[in-house]
Amino acid sequence: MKEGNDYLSESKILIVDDDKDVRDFLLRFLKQKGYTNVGSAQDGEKALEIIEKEKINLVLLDIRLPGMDGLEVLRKIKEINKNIGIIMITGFPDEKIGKEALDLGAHDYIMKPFDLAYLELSVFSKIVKSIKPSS
Amino acid sequence: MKIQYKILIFLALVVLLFLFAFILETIFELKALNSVFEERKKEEIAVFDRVLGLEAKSLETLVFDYTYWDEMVDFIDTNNKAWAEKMMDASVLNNYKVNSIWIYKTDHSPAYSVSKEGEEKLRDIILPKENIEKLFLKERFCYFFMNTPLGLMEVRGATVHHTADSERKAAPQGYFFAGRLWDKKRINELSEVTQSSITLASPQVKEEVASVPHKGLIAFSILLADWEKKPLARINALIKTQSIQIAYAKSKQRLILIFVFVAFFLLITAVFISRTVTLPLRSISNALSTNNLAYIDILKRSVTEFGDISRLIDKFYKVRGELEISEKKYRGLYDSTRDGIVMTDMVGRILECNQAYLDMLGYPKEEILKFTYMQLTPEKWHGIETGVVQNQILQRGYSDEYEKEYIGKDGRIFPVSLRVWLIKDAEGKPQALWGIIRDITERKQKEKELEDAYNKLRQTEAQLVQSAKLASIGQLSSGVAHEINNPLTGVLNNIQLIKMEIVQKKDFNPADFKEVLDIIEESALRCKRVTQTLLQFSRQARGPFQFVFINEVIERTISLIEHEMGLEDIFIQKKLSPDLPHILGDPQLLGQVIFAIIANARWAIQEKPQKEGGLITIKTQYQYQNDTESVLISISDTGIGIPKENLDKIFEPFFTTKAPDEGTGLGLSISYNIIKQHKGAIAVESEINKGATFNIALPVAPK
Repeated sequence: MKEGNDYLSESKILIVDDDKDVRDFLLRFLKQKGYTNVGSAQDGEKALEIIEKEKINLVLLDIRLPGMDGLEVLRKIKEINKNIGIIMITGFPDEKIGKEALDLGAHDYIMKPFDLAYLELSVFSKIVKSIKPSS
Repeated sequence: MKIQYKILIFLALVVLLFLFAFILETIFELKALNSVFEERKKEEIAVFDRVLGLEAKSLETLVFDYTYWDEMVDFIDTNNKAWAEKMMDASVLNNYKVNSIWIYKTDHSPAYSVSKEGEEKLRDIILPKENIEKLFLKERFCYFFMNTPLGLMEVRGATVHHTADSERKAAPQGYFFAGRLWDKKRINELSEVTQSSITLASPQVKEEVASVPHKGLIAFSILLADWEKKPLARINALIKTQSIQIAYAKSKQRLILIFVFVAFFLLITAVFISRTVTLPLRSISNALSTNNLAYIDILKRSVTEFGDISRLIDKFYKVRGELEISEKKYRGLYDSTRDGIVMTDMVGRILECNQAYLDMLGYPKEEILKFTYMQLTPEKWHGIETGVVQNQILQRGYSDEYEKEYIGKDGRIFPVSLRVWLIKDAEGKPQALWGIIRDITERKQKEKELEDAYNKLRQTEAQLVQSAKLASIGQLSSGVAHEINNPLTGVLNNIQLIKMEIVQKKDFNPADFKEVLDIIEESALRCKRVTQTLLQFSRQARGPFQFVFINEVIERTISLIEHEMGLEDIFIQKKLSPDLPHILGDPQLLGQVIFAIIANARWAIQEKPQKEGGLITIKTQYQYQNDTESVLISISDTGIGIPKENLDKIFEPFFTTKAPDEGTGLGLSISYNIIKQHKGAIAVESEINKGATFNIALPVAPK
């Protein structure tokens, strides 16, 4: 059984958002929560590059992105690796898009600005799920 | 009087004139004939006298030859009866056609007398002595008639002389008389010789048989005198002359001929006139009096003037028929129209009006004719109406439609709308006014209702415009949500994070803290900018027009959506002329127009089958054309374009090709109205699959 902190250090998280304010906040927040391997990308293409190179456990993925939008990126990530946990983040809740994202295999769909407690819980649970060898 | 009678009278006059002329002529001819007849009568009388003379010649010769003879003187002296009987026997009497001879002595006593056998009474006649003396006082011969027992006798006598005294100068030696009886036989002889019928009559009896010129009968009489030269008897002669009778008969014949001819002429003329004048005239008269054109059916085909008249009548009836129909039609219109029609004289007195006019005002006709139109009009309109009459009707013959009020019989004042025409007489002088009047009480009411409805509509429209704006905002909202929620994340979540850090007192670094606060501040300012722009965009209140620099409006509008559209690979290219003049307008409204067009362009680009994104180009420039300064805004896209058939519908309200949840169809129609409010123009051009361009022109603000 692994300790909680092990998950924090073992996991690799990628933040994909075109808004620097959001990226900076999430980096800061996740670092504070103990996640050491947190990276970020401004758009889908860069994100996919990273995902192909590195073993990413969790992607925090904005739906509105320049070029490929979030759903597209989600689809591609799933093609690369089904096990990567994906939390969609959005500035504008849209049931249709949310449902589509979940159907495509996203694990959660979170509104900006964030409910920090829920964000922490969601991130943690996905990390645990993705790292556990059984899953 | 009927024309046929006139013609008949005329004909009769002509005939009378003819007859008068011929009668005159005949009278003159008769006179001429009569004078010829008289002439002839004289001739006949002369001939008769001559014949009588010739008849008496033998008697005369006997008397002449036997009275200058010596033997006769001797006999008278000697009274030798034997000589006398020998010399004057019956044969002598017969030769000389003498009935009796008497010889007297110088003393007037009878010497010898002899007569034809059986006529002894004649021998015994003795002439009285004194008579013999008287007979020969001046003459040696005498000639007279006397009555004898055997009838009228012509007697000739002479004095007896010696043979040598042939001149009968010496005294008479005796007296010798010879007589011839005018008995029936003698008269018949005379009649035969003179070819006349002769009768004897007493001298007192006038001509028994008058002359009958036309029968060619010439009657005359000759008086026969006794020895005292007194009328003793008269011979009436009647001569029948064939030529005169023929002349008269011819004259009479001619007269009859003329009568027949005149009668024939009259008949022919009467028939002719009847056929050519009277009958057509009667047909026309009948057709006119009964209005039955069947009477002139045949006449219509005639080439005579009556044919012309008939055709004219026919035409007249046709035209009249048409006129009647048209009159009926217009009369029907006049009576049945709901508009009042009224005619007044130039003083305004009502002369004529239709039922609708009476109904409108509530007066019966006989009452309304006592009014002038001014009396039926409230005083406040008098000035205006006089103006209309002076300036419009009298100037150009009619008025524009104008409104005023009438006072009905019940005192109700109601609005009317009317037009008036001027009627001029033949000399062009204004004679009357015609007016068509409509009661517009209902219309006024409707107008008011309409105005209310319009005001309500305006409110609704304002609401609609607002809701369209809200719809735009809806379209915006996802973008706006990001625009706000992203910086809000920066504000809110960073604050929460700092709070957590403070609570945990873990690695608390004031410098680090400041950095976070800067982020928060910047994010908060971002929020503020977004909300301000949004507010400006959606503000409902319309202020007065102000000087607007259109580039600013464009920049501000684009800033709201540029980022979001970039996400959809739709890029906005700006080619804004830097030195544009100001225009006068409402920046919010103009921003709304720009936004609507860009939103449309965006939709058109997204509709393209390959989601390759697109380009929206916004261009502004200054234009000076036809003395007008304008600012031109052109917004082009590379979208699917607009089908030709939709190009002219695109500015209609609620016209949209988008799905119901994608658009209201109001954006461009509102844009159109806004540009109109700015006295500008908006137009669109498009090519399918290549894109569309919206061109807006706005007038430059006056300096």
